[in-house]
Amino acid sequence: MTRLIVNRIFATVLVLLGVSFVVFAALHFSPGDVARTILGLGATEERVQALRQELGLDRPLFIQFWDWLVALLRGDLGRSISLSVPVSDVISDKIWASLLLMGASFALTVSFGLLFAALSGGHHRSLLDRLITLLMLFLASLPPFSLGIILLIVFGLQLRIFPISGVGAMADDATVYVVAKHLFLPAVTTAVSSLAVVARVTRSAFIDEMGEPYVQAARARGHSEGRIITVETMRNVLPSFVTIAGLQIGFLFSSALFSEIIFNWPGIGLQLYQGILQRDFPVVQGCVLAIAIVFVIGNLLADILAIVLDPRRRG
Amino acid sequence: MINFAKKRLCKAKNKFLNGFLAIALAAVTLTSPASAAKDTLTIGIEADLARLDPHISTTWNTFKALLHMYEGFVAEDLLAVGVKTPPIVPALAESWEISADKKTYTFKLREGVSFHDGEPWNAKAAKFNLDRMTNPDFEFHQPGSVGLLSWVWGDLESYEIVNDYTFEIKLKQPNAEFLRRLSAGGSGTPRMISPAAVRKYGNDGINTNPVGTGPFKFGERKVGVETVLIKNNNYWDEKRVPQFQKLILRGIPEVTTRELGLLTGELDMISTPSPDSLEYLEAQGITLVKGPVSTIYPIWLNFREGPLKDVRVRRAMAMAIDREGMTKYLRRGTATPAYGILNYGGPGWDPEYRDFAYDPEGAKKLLAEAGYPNGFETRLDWTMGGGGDVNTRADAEWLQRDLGRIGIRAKIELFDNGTYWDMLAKGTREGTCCMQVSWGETGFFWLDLILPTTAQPPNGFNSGYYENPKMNKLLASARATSSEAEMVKILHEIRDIVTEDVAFIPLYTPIQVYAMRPEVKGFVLAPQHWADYTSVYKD
Amino acid sequence: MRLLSIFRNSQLSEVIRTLRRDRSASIGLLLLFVLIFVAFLGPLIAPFGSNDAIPSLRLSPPGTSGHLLGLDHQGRDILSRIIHGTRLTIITGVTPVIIGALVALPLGLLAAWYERLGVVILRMMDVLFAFPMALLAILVTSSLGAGIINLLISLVIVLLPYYVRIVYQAAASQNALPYIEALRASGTPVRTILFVELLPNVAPAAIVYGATVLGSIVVTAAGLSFLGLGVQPPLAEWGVMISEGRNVLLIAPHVAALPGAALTLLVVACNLVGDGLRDALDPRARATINYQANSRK
Repeated sequence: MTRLIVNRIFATVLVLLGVSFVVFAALHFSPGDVARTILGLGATEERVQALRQELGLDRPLFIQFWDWLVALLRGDLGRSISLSVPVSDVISDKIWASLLLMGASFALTVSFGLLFAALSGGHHRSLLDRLITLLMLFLASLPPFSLGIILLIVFGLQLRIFPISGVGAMADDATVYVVAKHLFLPAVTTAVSSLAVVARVTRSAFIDEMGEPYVQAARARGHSEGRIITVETMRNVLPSFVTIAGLQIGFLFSSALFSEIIFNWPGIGLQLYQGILQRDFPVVQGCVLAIAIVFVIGNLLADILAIVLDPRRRG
Repeated sequence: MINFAKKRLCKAKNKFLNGFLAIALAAVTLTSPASAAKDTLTIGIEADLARLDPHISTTWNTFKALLHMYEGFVAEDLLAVGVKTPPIVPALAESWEISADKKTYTFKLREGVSFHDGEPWNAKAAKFNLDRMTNPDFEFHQPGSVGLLSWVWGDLESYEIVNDYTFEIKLKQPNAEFLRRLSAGGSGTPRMISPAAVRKYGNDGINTNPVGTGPFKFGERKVGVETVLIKNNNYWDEKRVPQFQKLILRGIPEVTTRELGLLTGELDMISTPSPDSLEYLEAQGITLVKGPVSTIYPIWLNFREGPLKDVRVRRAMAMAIDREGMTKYLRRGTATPAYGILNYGGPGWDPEYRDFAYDPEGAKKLLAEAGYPNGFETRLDWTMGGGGDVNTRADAEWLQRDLGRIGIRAKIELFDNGTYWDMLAKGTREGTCCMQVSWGETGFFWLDLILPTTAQPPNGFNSGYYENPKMNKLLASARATSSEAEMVKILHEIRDIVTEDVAFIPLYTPIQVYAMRPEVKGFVLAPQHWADYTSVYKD
Repeated sequence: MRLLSIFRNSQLSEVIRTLRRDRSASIGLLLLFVLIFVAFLGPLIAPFGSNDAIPSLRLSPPGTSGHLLGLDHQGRDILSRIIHGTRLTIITGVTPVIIGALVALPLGLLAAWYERLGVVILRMMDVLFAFPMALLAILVTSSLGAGIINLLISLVIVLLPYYVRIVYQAAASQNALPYIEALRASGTPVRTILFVELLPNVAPAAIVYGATVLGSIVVTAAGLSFLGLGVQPPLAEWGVMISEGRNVLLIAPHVAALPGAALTLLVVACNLVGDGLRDALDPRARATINYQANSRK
């Protein structure tokens, strides 16, 4: 098991190296000259060349990448073009806002995903099962930006139950209550389709388990259905549940991007969107890299957890 | 906050049930205004601020913060009620004398004023700032300000310290608008930074550590989220001491998010709600303050773009645009069509003047005459809007349809406002026919920035490369006039030539709107792109 | 010619038969056909042109006479725009799934045949795996520039790692089978083995994967247009329409909500078909493949 985990960590480091190269290269393969973009069309060719030299754009790609990587390890992501402040300053406190949203969405995904799966899979072919299956199909198909806008209209605008802009949650004096209230709509928007996928896949696992001999034995022993679902089968459903839940992290990141924009949640997704609008490539680069790193590490943790939990790989 | 977020995160991961409990609790309780604190005023503006260094600042929204942090020799009195143009009042200069030849300005500086960092304001500080803006050999020279502030210092001959509190500025030629220009902002502003702060933080450091003399000090900035200003308890002008401790400016580009923030109480006040929602907001008990503003929406035409080199094509484009329909339906009466390049609130504006009549059939003929019977393909580079702008993307789509009717097929590309100004400063891109920002000022100095050949990029905003050397001379003589009537006469001549050359297509003049919660009182709407927030209080 | 045999492949016709018996998949298929039909006929059945505006009726609600679904902020008929928009929404969602498969098939086959090349290709795919789907698409479109073609390119790149891995696995399992061994021994050219013999046997796996991932690619494509990175206004596309409707959410929520509903319907149809196809092909696969395409396994 330890060897498996060490291998995974090693592979992750290599992947991160590749990821930073892709992000770095995206800038270089983008049409348009960086120096020209900074100086404008009116600039003379000499000035452009001088700036290219100053920025090191005339050196071989891999040397530039190396410098960029070294700076990156020092936490230096370059300067924002539109604000002329370091990119790391722009994104550092937004990572926490995003992680908060991700954490809440992930909690919703796993808890409600498991709940629906147990309710549905534990009562295979019942009316409840059919209703939940239908609901999950619908939820899994809801684009986050459609859902976000509908939640915004219904809860923020018509019912006025929840605040519609997340910024208030980031005030210095915000209480847990205030944060939770601001977090609710964006977290639901982010979680819904992943939640449905988790529920669907875990439901299948429940159904498979419910047909196993040990469940019939437990029934024969007079154990209640509730106990069978929550105790006896849960242990065996858990590995596939953890795997599918771990796989949702990436999808949650994609969805969070949209809910941050719709609910003005001051996270890294909103910053990325603003970076795109501002054609501020260093900021876009920094945001993409930050999200990818968090994603890769999140996956690593999910993999390790799955290895630890999987009885076949234990011992 | 970061620590808090970390703690919250751990909680969310470990005991998410607790989190659910709190959320369930939230679900049954109605939203309470989050910014209820009486000593904080939170304003939702149209975009996040750009650079906070006044000498290289851009965008009107940025000036909403800068005008509260920094001051110059003189200022416009934005709290004056019932004026068409805000009057010029003393600020860091107590008084001034203008020589008989109108070329020498002697400023008597206000004594006992200090910058937010304790550095005293005096003639030395004034010289430091003028050096920073205009002297390339100065240690702390800001190169970006030379082009950006050319509309202020273009006629500058020299400046000197007379004594500790007397400062003299000499001009090469008279400038009828010089004091107006000294008070202005929006694209660079000649306001005073603490010399000690520049030395301490460096030239670039002023962006993150702005230090001036204004009624508010810089608090903190969360880039892309908000900027917090703190009341300056030692402010010299008793009439403008803020009524509250904290002023928060939150850049929210999405108009709906701004409106909803106001309705739910996250924001106390917003600028520029959508014309479509005004009735709705009023029905919800929101106070609306409307008024005229010295703004115009001119379309820049790219003289270097193939077909547009022919004046007939430019004229056809102007005739194809239905300004009247646009202001009536799209703007719902919160705008009136603009005719001619002179703007409402600026010198020489004439409500009777007309330029191009809406005539799509005539436009088509003209286009055919110019050799484009089937039109051509081009691009509109547009901004999603900045201070005072309302859904400019909808404007672009409207124009696109109008141009489409005469066969001009235009793609739209949208940019954030800050980026857009940078693009405008660099000149219209190849392949783009039109750009547009809202402009117009209380003086005519902005014409100095868009019309003369000397203002072509990168030295100004003649971004469509309009070449008419007459402009340089006419504008210089308009500046040098000694009577208002004479100045207006020259300005009318300028306007007529711009119309004849079809260098710009004026679109409309907006009515500006602020919306605020009922407990917000004391707001004065100036006929300017920004307002003085020091008079606002909460009931 | 041999390629046609994919479609005569007995396994696949079996799949189609099973699919027809599956009620929810049939509903999905029907729905999808209707939407594709609408996309084809678009301009013929839409009451108005996609950019025809009646400014005086701006923001009129659904039910306005002559405008079943109301009008948008420019005074354009929303029903017409949804109908016109079907075409671009489906094209931007479906094309990358098809092109992705066409690009991935040779890549995956080569990776399975040549071991060293395979390592290189698979490691590159690992790196692409490390990006959440929408994020990679954003990175590509924001560096290439907005527009339909770049949108398609970015989605193909997003799909590649998943496709390549699936083709690779399918091909690798075939490689060990006796008939491939026999072909290899008989000196058949590699080209023939890969693209004539192997291809028909690995293609179904790619096709099924494409079907299951279709829904989420449709969402991602519309999402990029929503962000302003894909289809540009005033072209009618549902993501663009939702994004434009956000400006008038307060007084005319239908402008954003209706295209959102249309998009959800399309995705439901795609997912129903995807589910059915997957179940028909391999009932045991239920637990391992899901149509969100972010699986790393």
